[in-house]
Amino acid sequence: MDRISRLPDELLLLIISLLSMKDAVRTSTLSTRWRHLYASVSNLDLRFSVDHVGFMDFVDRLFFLRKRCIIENFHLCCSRSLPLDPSRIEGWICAVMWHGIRELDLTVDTIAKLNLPTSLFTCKTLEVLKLHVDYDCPIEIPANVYLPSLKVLHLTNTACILDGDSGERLFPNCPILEDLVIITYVRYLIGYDLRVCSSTLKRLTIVTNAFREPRDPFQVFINAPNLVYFKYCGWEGDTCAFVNVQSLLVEADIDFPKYSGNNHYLQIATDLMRGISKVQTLCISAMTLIHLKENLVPIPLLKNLKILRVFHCEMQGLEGLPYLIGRCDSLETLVLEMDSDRAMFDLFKWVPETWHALEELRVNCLFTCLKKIEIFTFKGNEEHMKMVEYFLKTASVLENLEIHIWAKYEERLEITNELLMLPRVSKDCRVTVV
Amino acid sequence: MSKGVLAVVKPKMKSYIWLQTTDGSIQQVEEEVAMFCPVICREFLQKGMGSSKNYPILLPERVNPAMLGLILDYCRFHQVPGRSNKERKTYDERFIRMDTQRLCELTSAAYSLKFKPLVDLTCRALARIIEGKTSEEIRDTFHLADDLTEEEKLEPLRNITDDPRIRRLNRLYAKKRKELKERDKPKDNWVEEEHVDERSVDDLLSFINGGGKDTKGVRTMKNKKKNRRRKEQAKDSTSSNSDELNAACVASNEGNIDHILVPTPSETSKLHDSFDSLFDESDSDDGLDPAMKEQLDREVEDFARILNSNWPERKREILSLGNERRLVPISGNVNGSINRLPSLNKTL
Repeated sequence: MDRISRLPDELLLLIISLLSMKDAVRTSTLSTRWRHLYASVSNLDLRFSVDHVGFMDFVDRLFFLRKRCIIENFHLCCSRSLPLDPSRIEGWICAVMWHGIRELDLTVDTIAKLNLPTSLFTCKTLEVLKLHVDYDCPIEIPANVYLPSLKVLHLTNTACILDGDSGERLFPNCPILEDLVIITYVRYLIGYDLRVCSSTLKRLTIVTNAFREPRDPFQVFINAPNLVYFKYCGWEGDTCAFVNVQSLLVEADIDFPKYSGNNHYLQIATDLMRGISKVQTLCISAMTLIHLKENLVPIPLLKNLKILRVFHCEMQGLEGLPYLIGRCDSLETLVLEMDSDRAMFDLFKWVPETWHALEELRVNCLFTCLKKIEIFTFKGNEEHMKMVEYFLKTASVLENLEIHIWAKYEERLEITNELLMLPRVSKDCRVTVV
Repeated sequence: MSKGVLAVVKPKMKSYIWLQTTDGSIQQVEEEVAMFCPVICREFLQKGMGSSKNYPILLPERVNPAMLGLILDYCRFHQVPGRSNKERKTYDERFIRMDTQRLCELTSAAYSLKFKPLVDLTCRALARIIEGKTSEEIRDTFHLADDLTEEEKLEPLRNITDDPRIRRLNRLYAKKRKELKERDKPKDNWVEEEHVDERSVDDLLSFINGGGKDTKGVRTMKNKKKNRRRKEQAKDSTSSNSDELNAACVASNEGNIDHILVPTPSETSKLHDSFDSLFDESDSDDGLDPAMKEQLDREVEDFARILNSNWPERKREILSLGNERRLVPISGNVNGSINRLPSLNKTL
């Protein structure tokens, strides 16, 4: 009668791998046939919740029971409030390496320094490595690194020692690396010098110190001829040198979030603008635009730029935007995002004077090619209305204006009506309110 | 062998492939339909089988005529190139609506034919049936016999301080933690540590040998817990040395060590007296017979080896550091007291 248990192990493991971890472990209570199967499943998704002693024992037992077979995906995640014993975690990683692994995702917080075993850095089958380790325990790239299958490397919130030496140890030994993400909120940085040299790298994200006190300058040197996507969030005083990057770069994301009042962003902003001059899509924060304007950063002609997205508009306003738009000849889509999280603290102020200079320049994209404008978290207040009014009056070839309202249900109808009544200069323009 | 021919007369335009299931019955199937299944395709193209009634392609055991019918229906639908993804999805959803027993049979048949799309589809369907249900419900749905004891059912989920393997492993972890602390401490007291090392090696070895004699007799759970806490708090009592453990395992296997020290019974009890507060050698509490104990110890030892598998690198590290200070190998005798113990050749 029991047909399912007669299926071979491989099939049962396939079925268990499609279940959530909780359901998978539950199958061990079904019958003797199923008792230890769950341990050999190919994805191990271990997110622990409450009882960390029990959890650590559970994971030990899992590795005891597991038959030696490659782990496709090992995801270990523990919360900040209940840290785990680092020697246990090291043991698990050794066990994982012994089985063989393709994707490793470690989000841990520990009570003491975590020493990642060196076998992790010499794993032949590892394709995706994501480390999110408590930043009090810096990770050192060891002397012998060889990760021939590694395509994706994310180091988030990890104090990874990133000096020139470790770059030299890391990049030549990851021959097919395509996606690199470095996000650090390190407390003490000492003259970091990051050298990224990879001929296969397609996506690069560097986010450092978004809102901490000023730190020593970060020197970034990028030599990645196949780079398609680049994101940088950093500080004044950084320098970013590009070599060979421009030709394939399609999308960039730039953010200088902190307003220190000193306005020393000139160097880094110039470097970056020059480096990304050929992009087609640009995401930039409103604060960055202000820095560009205040420092009179020379912006090259961004002739390929089709999509411009400005986020975090709610804190400042769009004073810097005309400065950038003036350099975009073929812009077709403009997206403005106020942050919905901070929609309460809306300091947005529409300053029409900054746009006058642009109007003198009749040959700019606002009049020639801007076809779509999308606005997120539109609150319907006076300042926001003024902004929409302005765009409708000036964008001569606008075809589509999409507005996502963020307001109470009762007010939506009123705001919608008001929006639809606004005069528009473009005959084909369609206004959609969502 | 009786041969039931289930051929249907079809117009001469189409070409057919002949398939035989294990019960002996032979079917005739349109070529393009049957070729959608890779195994049939290969048999036909590479081995030339199935082109006539006399040489049908022999299908694997699990594929009975009913299942073959279903599989061919699936092939018949999907081999048509023009269909949209949405159409295919809708068909699939309807296709797998059948009782669970049949679904299992179909999975088995698809698997033996190595027909991946159908295997994935059926397994996903089975997973969807299983997810979210309690064990009781799953057992009902699939008619599973409930042959586990209540205790066995709780195994992976409860706090397993009772599992002897986990307990021994925890001891290894405690040692390793101390070792990590020692590593970060300044190295001037290296010589002192060596002396302490020796004693813990003996203890570790007796651990590997399946436990020495426990002179204190049966302990209660409470005492065990107290001891563990005391052990955790005891500071420089023993330095870590899961390295030593591994060195013992690895080195002895490589035959590098001349002799491994094994304490005599009298020595054992002396050592145990001093170490009882630190290590629960309370094997008799496990309620396991010696054979089981030995097997568990072997398992733990294997597992510990895996967990510490970066030992070769650390060995190299330590040996390179050893240029600066004298590193005494484990087989060496540091202090006179050890000489008193007999040395035996021991193979693990």
